[in-house]
Amino acid sequence: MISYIIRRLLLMFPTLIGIVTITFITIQFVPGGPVDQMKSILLGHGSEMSEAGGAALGKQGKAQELDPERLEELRKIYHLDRPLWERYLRTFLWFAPEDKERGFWTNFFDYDSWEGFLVFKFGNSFYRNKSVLELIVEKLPVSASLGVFSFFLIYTTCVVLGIAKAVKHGERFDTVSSIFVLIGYSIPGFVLAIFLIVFLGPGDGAIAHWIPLSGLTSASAYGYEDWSTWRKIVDYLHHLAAPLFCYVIGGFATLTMLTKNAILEELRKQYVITARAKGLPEKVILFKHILKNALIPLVTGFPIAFLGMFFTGSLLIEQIFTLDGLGLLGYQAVIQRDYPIVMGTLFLFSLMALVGQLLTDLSYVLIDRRISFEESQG
Amino acid sequence: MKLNKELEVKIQKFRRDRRAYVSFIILSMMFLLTLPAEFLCNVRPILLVVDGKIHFPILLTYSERDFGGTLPSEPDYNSRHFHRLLYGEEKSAALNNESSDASLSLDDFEDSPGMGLGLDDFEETSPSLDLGMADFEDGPATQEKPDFSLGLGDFEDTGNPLQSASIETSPAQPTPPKEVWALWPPIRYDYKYIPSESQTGKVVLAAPYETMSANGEEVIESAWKDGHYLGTDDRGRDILARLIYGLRISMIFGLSLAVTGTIIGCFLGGFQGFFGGWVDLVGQRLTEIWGSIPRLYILIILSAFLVPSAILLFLILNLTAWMGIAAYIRAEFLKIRNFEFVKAAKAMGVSDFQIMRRHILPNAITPVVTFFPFEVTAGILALVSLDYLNLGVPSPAPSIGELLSQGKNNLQAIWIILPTFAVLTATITLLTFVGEGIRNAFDPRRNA
Repeated sequence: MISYIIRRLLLMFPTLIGIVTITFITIQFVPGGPVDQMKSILLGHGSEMSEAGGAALGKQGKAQELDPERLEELRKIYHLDRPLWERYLRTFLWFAPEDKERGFWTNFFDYDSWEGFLVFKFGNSFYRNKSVLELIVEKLPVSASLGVFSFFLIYTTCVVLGIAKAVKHGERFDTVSSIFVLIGYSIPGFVLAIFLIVFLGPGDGAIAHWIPLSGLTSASAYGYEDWSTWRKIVDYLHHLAAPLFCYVIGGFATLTMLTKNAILEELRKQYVITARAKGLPEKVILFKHILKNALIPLVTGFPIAFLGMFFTGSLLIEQIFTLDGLGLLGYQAVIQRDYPIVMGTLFLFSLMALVGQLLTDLSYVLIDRRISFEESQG
Repeated sequence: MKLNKELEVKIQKFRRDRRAYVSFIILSMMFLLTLPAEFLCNVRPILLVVDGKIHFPILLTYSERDFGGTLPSEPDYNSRHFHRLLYGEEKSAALNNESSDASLSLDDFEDSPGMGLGLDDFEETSPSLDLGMADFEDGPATQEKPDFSLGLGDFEDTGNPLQSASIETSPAQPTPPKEVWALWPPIRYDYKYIPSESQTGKVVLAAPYETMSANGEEVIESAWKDGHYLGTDDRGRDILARLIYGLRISMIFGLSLAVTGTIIGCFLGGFQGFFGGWVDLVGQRLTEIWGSIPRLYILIILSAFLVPSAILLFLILNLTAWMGIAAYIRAEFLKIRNFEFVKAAKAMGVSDFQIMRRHILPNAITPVVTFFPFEVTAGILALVSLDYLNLGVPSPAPSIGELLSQGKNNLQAIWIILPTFAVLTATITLLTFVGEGIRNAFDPRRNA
């Protein structure tokens, strides 16, 4: 078991290194890099730079009048004056003491004199004057609000619905709820979001103005500070409702069906027949015996869902409801070529995903001792 | 032949699943109906007979000179100028005949298999039309039905004073009336045609029903009169035409993406699964790396080098479309390669490729089949969301995602979002139903 975990942890390194390498390479060779972007901004084309795609390409010609000294300064800020291999190593781990007089060992044990992803330093954003970690922390409340609520909503609803559907398998309730769940599954969240914002949002065509303008709170509203806590909570839930609904709608189907099928499978097993023959009431059989076994596949999904719920941002839904979350942050970073953010978030999220995957696999083993990864390899 | 029999049983099973089977039929009908989109929505007539000479403007390009005009370029068949050229100035009375003729031929056309019927259905299902009609009837000035031929008549009437003026100023202008017979598509607009003139006086963002202007003073007439049955978008293009063309391109895109994704996925997943060991290990790492780089990122970088187009988008999405199917095929191959018959084939000296193709793949095909409809859905949604973000196919191309973004940007224009939402969600819901049906029919473990 321990050796398996160690092997899995070791296998993460090539993956992470690969991810960083590939992004690093593409960033180095793609036109419209940071210096080009900064030049354009300094020359007053800033507003146009947020345009997607090849927009950055055409602007290069105009940027030539920039002062060479200023350019050199820019290149220094982004370490572009350094050779390629050094820049590459800098992204992973780099020892660069600021205070040379303090002596090597003092600097060596000082966190500040190290940089690179391996010590969780992702640098500063090019344009926002903040470090990548700060930005992520700043956007976290939005993503976490969506994530935490949807996590609990989906899990509770799905388990209850799945049990009900399994008990009434083949009956009308089962068929009808299946249709609804499948329709919910197939309506894409962001399309529903647009639909809702047009008909229930602030626009002229709306039937009712239920959806508030933007953000997660009415913090910009007049006198918000004086509101009671209760009112603030209601306001927060009010803002959260529509995005959460769109975010969650597709998630019900998979889990509900998973629960239902697991229960159905258990129902046919020997021990259930034995329990029935013993004369146990159906309720006891269901809640005491079947559920314990049937919910295993749900539990194994827990770790990755739990990790994911803080960090998943849905760009489209965030964009539609003007929420400032991680999804939007990543998108804007890619569009503006804000490379520290791109690489930093990519690294962090990949790490999360890999750890989550490992935890999921481990929880399989913990729950069901028969599963062994040692033999399945090779 | 055993496989064929099994397949037959499965297909039988699929057909017995009523929900899935009906969805499948509706879906294929939608696809077949949108395929000849050029014949449903076009700015050119299908058939134009002028003085006994037959023209096919929809297939061939004619210059205005062919119809007795002066310009060497292609005429705008919808324009007033072209009408004057064909029907002459004074013949407004006869023209009503002509146009009713045209509408008759239109009816003929609608009787032809499927096409017109499907279109009617289409219009009726989209709820914006009901709304439009209701509003329309409330409106004061519209006792007459907004019939096609009537609309044309109106057209000439309003044009009349202008035309007589032009006769007076330029005596050389009047052309002799011609014998004209035209067969028009049911919708006289295509996805990129931006009309320059309209009888209701509003070309840009016109609703299919009567609306009030922003300050609530004047009534804006319904775009239905101009033949925009679902109104226009904010560039004056016909929404119904854009929807039909957009649906066609989305479906073709989704289907072909699923096909190529499945093929690539089978190759890569099968290769990994069959050889296992180091090949598998390295392959998995590479897949992880590749999978964690956001698609958006690749897309933006590549479109910095290349001109974005539907083909390029297709190629880029293919870079990741294979991943889901590859994972399943890999797992199946890992399992099946240890079976007795594979070992036997190996002992008999069958080449690796032959074993994979002949012996393992047919047994691993179940996930491929069950995942196919969901891959199609994923392909359609990928295109729609990229188009929504303005990163997809550039502007004049018909796209559902672009319609969605127009709906979002023009919150008052609910006639844009309603039919788009209806069509898109209907398509995807039907696809999901079909997918569920296939999964139930093909996957023996799900036969609860």
